[in-house]
Amino acid sequence: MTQFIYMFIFAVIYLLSIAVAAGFLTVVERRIAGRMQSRIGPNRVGPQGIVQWIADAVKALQKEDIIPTDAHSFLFKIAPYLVFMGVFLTLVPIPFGAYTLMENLDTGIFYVLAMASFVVIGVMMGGWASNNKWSLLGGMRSAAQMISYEVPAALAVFVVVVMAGTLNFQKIVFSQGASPVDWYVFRNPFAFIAFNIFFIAALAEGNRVPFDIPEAESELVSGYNTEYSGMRFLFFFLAEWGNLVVIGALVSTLFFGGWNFWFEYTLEFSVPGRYPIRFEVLGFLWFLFKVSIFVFIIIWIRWTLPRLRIDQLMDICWKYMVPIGLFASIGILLWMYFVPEKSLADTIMRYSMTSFGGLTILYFFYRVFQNLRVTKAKIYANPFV
Amino acid sequence: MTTYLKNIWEASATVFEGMAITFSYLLQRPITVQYPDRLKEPVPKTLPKNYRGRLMVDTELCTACALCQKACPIDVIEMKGARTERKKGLTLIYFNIYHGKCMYCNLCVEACPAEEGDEEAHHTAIYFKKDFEGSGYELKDLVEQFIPREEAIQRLKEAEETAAKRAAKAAAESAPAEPKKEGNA
Repeated sequence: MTQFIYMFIFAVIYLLSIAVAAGFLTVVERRIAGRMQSRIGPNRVGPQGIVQWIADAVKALQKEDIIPTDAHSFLFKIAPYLVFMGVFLTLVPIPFGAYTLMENLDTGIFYVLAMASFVVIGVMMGGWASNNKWSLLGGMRSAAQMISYEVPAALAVFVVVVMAGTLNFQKIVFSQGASPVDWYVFRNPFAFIAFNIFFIAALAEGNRVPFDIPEAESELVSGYNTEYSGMRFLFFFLAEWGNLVVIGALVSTLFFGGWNFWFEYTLEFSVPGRYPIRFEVLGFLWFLFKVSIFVFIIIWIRWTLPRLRIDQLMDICWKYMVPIGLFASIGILLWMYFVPEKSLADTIMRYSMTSFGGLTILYFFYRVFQNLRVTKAKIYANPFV
Repeated sequence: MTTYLKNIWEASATVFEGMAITFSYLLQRPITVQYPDRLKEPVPKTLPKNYRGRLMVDTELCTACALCQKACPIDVIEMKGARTERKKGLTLIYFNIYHGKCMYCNLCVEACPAEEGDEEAHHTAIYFKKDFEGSGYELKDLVEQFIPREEAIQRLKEAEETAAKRAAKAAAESAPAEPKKEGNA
């Protein structure tokens, strides 16, 4: 019973922190969107608009909870919670630090892939129960999209699992090192391909632009959530922005070394007290930093790329990402067989991949400043106006 | 196969370039002007010299000649001048402007003969301010009385007294002479 109470308290803390993070992200996203469109974005509620999300939530709470007459009342009511639950449950095995995690599941990544499917059920349920053409179309599209993109995501995860030899997230983190050279993304070309595929597939599973056709505003009013109002609508939104955190956390855990901070760990992580607590905090912050970078990239993609058509979406999945994912997963098997770890070829490949990644980022900033020079704009790097 | 690889390359390259462009916008200053409360200086100060905002009347300068009233094609100006003992010539009794009707045509300003100021701060008795913020909840809020109502009633009384005095004086001086009509009757 005591254990149950502890579990309950921690679950509530987790839930609240995710809800707060999701709420805060809506403001961050709007600010970034504003700056990318030469606007300012919300900056009136609180200093620089940081409590805008509370105002939005209070407003949504005051709204009437409308259920359409011909809707299937029960399914309509539970759909948003299923969607939110699907997002929240994926966070359970993801480690935010050596001890900061809900449950160190041995089936970790498998569990995450399974729980992500809850979202499909919830979205389909909401779309169908609304008794509305737009909602149903949105739900159907979403089901087609999410189920399709689970395949390349699973193939990309397979690459990581083969390299780590485990499904457990903590062990995946430990089998990567702290420095970029030891991250899986820069280990070999196949892992790099797998990272790209996983990132794109995760975007599609999270209904983010450019794969947001389940909620395409210009085509489907709002998609599966058209008929929702008030707090139930907010739950869909909470799930969407919570998903950003989940995607960022998954990508940084699987490919970017997770919370692994500063030096090599040879110790057994399961032994309590062996891991210095100050590194726990630093590792947590380091992980949050990585997650926020990926969240920023996802937001940035949203305000850069236009939406794909449904046939293009399916083309990308089945004609490009699945074959490439298969190629990567076969390639990684051959690589693991022929190039043992810490051999000369492995070391050369790691360092060349890392420098390739660094050079890409440098070239990217070169292009950015070239763009600035072409438009003759003055640099104003201050995030606040 | 070539098309396949080319498609992949083009997708990555164009996404890369597109994201470079949006990131460059992130590093620029937004062009939004945070009107009205977060400005370095109020908007009227940044407007050009010949900007036409709301009409303004300098009641000290005004000679109550009513030329502006006659020039106005849509009866925006409602004014009256009469002789009082306050000053030589005509005194302004009331001067109301219906801002809701004004179409900012400048005809009244061109007609006004009373001028003041040097090159820099030159203005006529009726002129356009740079102020443009004059919205109200009712139509009557858009009527501006440059002489307040109580003051106008006071002046009207004075004008009537003066007119009566002058009539009496004229009658005393020469019985056959007609009493002069004064003001803008």
